[in-house]
Amino acid sequence: MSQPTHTLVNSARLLDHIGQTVRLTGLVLLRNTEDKELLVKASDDGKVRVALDDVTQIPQSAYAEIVGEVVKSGDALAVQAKHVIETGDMLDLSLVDFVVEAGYNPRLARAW
Amino acid sequence: MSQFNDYYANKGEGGGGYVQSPFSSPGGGARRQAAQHALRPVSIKQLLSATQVHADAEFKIDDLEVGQITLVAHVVEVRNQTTNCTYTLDDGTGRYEARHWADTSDQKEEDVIRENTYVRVMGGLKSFSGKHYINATHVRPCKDSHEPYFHKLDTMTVSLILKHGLPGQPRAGNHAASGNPNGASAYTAQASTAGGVNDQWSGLPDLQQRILRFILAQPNRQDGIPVTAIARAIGGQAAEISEALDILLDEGHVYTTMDDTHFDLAL
Repeated sequence: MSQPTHTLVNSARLLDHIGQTVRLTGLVLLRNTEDKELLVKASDDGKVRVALDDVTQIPQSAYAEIVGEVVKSGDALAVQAKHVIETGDMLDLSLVDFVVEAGYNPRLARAW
Repeated sequence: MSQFNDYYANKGEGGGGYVQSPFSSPGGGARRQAAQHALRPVSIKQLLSATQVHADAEFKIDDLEVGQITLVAHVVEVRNQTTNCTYTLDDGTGRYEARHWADTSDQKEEDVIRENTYVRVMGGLKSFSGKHYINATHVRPCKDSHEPYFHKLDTMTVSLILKHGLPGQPRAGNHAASGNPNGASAYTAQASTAGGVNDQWSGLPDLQQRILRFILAQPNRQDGIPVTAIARAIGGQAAEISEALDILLDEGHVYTTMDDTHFDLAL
């Protein structure tokens, strides 16, 4: 049985994972309860629209990790969320981005 | 901070994150004992790739025996049963189960494990009815949001150290290639500082230092270095070499491997 793998990404790396499930961590800029959407600033400062299944998924914390599928939304890419994990109100996004990029380095990412 | 101390402390024997001196048992027994007291940060991908020659054997990751592991992952599902809790964990590289036998009746609210949160798990790998799982000794919520990212880098670092040796050390000091489980102890404070090996030996007599450096420089230490090779390289009286090795053994700088005439560094 294949294992679900979700690469940790930033906004620029979404292009490499269209149709795949990824993990995107960022600062929640906007919460739209009517459209069940979030606008998230990813670790590389790019803005990503996140579509939710339910308003109960809207995170209360400033930062969140979105586990979801990368989908095309017009000319842009968005994430259809499966899980939203609240990651608190203080997070160093430059650290997160370092870890994202380290995950793409084949020498470093043997374990991942 | 007691939580930090608990992270690095070995439970039961030994403490402070150091691998217990392996020279209390000879050969493979010493190696296994050392591995069982090491704590290795891993990813679920590594756990899924762990191998076992038979159901009662120790697990190996990248051909190194694994004792205790530590993992940070997102809790997908919590199943509370009468005597234990089963957590389905996902860290982005796969899913794995952790079972925690603990009395949670008087658990504080802040320590309750909830779905869709990150936790740190420590424990050993077990196998039951062909299924592998983590037999968790500690499970706690991650209170710092940086912990999952720290763990990912921690895992990368330790995997590289086990494969290539510590940065700055000669390539011959490759613990992973030698299958030396004390390579896992490279993650202890003692060996983690650059140049730490030389600092550790600087107070020793010249003959003992030369013996240690000779062993360190050998390319293949999988079965240890025979005392005859040490004596031939160092020169001098056999009795002096033997006495120096006895002192190094007593002080924990070396340990015997396949028999009493083969030695390796206890780093």
